[in-house]
Amino acid sequence: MIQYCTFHLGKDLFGVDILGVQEITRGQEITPVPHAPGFVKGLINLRGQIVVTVSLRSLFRLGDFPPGIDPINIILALDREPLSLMADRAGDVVEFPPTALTEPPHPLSGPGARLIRGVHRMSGRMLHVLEPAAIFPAHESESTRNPGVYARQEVP
Amino acid sequence: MDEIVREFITECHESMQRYEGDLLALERDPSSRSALLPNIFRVVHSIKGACGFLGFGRLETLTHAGESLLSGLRDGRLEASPEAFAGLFRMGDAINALLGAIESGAGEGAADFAALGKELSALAAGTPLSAAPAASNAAGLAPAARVSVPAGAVGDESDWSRAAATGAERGSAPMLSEGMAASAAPEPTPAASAAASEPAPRIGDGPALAERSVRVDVGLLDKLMNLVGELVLVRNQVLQSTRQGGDTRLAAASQQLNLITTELQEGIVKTRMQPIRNVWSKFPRLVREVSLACGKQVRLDMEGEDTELDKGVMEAIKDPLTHILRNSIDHGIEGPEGRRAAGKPVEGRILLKAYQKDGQVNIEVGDDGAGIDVQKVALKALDRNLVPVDRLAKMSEHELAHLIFLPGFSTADKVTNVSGRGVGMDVVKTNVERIGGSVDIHNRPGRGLTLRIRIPLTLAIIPALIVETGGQRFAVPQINVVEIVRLKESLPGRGVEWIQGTPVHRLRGDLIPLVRLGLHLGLDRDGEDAALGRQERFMAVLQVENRPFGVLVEAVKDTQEILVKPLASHLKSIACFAGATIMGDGRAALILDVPGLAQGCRLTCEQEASAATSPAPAAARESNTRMLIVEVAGAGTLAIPLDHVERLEEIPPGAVESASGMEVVQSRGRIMPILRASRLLSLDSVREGAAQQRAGNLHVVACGDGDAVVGLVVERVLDIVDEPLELLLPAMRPGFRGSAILKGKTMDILELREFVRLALPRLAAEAKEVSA
Repeated sequence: MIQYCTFHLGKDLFGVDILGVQEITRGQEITPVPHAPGFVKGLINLRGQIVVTVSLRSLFRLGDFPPGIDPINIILALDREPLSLMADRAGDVVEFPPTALTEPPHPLSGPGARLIRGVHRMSGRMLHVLEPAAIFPAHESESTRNPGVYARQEVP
Repeated sequence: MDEIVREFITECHESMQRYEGDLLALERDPSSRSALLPNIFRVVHSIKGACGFLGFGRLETLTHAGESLLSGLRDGRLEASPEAFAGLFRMGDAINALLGAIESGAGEGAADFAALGKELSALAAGTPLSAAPAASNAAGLAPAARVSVPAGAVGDESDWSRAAATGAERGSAPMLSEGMAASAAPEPTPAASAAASEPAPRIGDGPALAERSVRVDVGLLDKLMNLVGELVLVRNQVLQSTRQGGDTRLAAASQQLNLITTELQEGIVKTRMQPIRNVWSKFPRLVREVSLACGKQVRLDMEGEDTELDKGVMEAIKDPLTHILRNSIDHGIEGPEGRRAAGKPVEGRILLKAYQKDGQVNIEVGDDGAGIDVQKVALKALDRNLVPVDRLAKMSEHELAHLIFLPGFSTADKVTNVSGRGVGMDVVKTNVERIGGSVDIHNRPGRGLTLRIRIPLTLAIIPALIVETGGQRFAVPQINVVEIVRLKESLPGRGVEWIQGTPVHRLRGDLIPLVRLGLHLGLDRDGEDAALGRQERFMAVLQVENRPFGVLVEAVKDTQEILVKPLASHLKSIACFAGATIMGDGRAALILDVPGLAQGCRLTCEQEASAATSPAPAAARESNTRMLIVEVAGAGTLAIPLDHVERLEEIPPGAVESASGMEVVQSRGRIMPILRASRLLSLDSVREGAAQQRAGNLHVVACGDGDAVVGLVVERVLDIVDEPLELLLPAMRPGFRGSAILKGKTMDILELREFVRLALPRLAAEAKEVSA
């Protein structure tokens, strides 16, 4: 069984594998990064660590966070550097067998579409499962290149 | 004492501790022989090897004899008798005594261990001690012992013969040193003379070297460095909040915290410091090889080898220094005839100098060669189309000399093995600037050239100026800041003049280009109206490559020590930021990458600088056509008349998004479709390669057509020409005006607006096909 940490974005429900979630925070002050891709909301200071924050609303073309919503930051522990996903509000933790993952019936639009790994059908709604590593397509190659650099540095 | 001897002693002390422990364990439990003896043997063997190298003859003789005994034991040829153990323990003591003597700076001391050596050799030969003839010397006996090696030990055979060979080779050396030892005077070893000239530590002053120094994993040091950085941040935060509050006790405690943090930071930084000698030690050899290859005679002198540098910085300057030295020998220093003719000594001289100044490390590489011939440099730059001619004419000698740092520049008449391939100096500059340093040239034509590299002591914590604009704070590394100018309200336009729609400032008679930080970063909510934003009241004069430019900001805060944190890997492509940091109030702030920022604005700077400095007669301009020369992968160079060019932009590849099946970028609040010129113009076969070739920022020529703006992506913008346009060949394909000769090259003249109009529907059709 895979446990998913779920969260809401507009009317849709999304989830990420709970093993990749470090924590969920809220009310972080965000420093915007000029010239960054539009979906990068900025940088937050997470206890001394600088974390890039991505707005899932821009990734799925859902517009700005409406007033009255205090977005949450889902901090993901990706392999080298953490990443924060901003969503409207947190949902429950749900469990599904991996085999229950199916193709999304109607693909979502926007640059976020490539993030959807599949959907789980729940009673009356669908859970879109995200693949956070796909947010920055170059991220994969970056992380495979870097261990070499680190390994070299550690030789005394 | 020599660094290398110091290291040797530390290492020996460590391994001797193991030696004794292993020996004890072996004596208690003889069955552990196969596990322990190889270790014991290795210790003695490596000490012996290093001694031969360092010239400690007596220690070498002694360990050599011990080694023979140990190998006999290891191979089972000899019995581990109590005498053997006694001998080995005594050898341990003797080694320690010799090491102690070396450490105290008295060479190998006065104690003579020749008798012990003979005893060990006798044991190794399997001869009882009493039978060992006192007259025979150790070196003479050892080879004899080897003759009796049973031929069965095939595995070790090669090892043995090698050991025997080295023993025979060195046979005479130990003898000599023993003879000298007999005269009781301390040997004048290099270590002894080095120690004599060094007033510092003496043996009685403190604990032995092995106890005073420990080996620490570099990873641990890096971690400590990071932690101290964090502490600096917390300190900043505490200081900021106590400044506001009125609690005096807390204020006093935070002052204390401040002091301790600063000291701790200095201490930790120091642990990562190494003398620059560690890098320089390879240079004498390099200079020898290169000067031989060039047929020149060059002497290398060094000053300030003890100047210390952070480990990371050290790594980063190794290659640049190597490049500079090669260049100096190959291009700088003349051949023997040339030097004689110039009345200089035949032997050229290069002086490497390092010193600390103003919290920075300065490294100078000076030669007494020909220096830079600026005229030759100017011609070469012109020849390679690196700089427009009108700009060249206005350059000072100093600026001309700096042209050697342009990518693709090389003054060597011939390409040699050593240098002259047009890579080198630009790499030097980028590498040095990457670590926050700068390179300056001091050119003395005919008499030599000095390159000065200035680099920060450490990379992790830097002093920075905090500026504010568009409601955001930015840290500017102090090394790039020249001065801060408050724009006077009383002056018209607050001292800002406009040349061709770009702001410049007249600073003490010099025109310096201005960058409106808020506008450049897209933070200006007012948009791009020509008038200066009302809030920008300060100008920070920054400098890259000795060329100043002003950055307009709304407010200038204080200077702070900031901890540089790397930008997340997926944001690294943004050229204008070097990293991020955390401010006193806990918010993240971006660190400006000043060279990157200048690069991003370069086009406008140069364009307007050339426009400002060449007031061509208006009449001449009428008949001329201003054209942009661009390079398109797979299609060569093209000229684009400027009349339809709206502006030039540089965008990171990550900024490309897609809309209605086309590539688009966000530009000044709008969506701008972009067309890749290489894809539209090049042959299919080169298309793939061309598309993959470039990884850096995209250069976009924005073309205005009514309300819509479309961007054309080219590989590089090479130049802007202002020449009469004479079409020598009519257009052969749609979207072109024809062909002409510009700057001595045949070029197709692109009719930008028509080209874009033709290309857009084609792209749209392609997009439809793909989606269908």
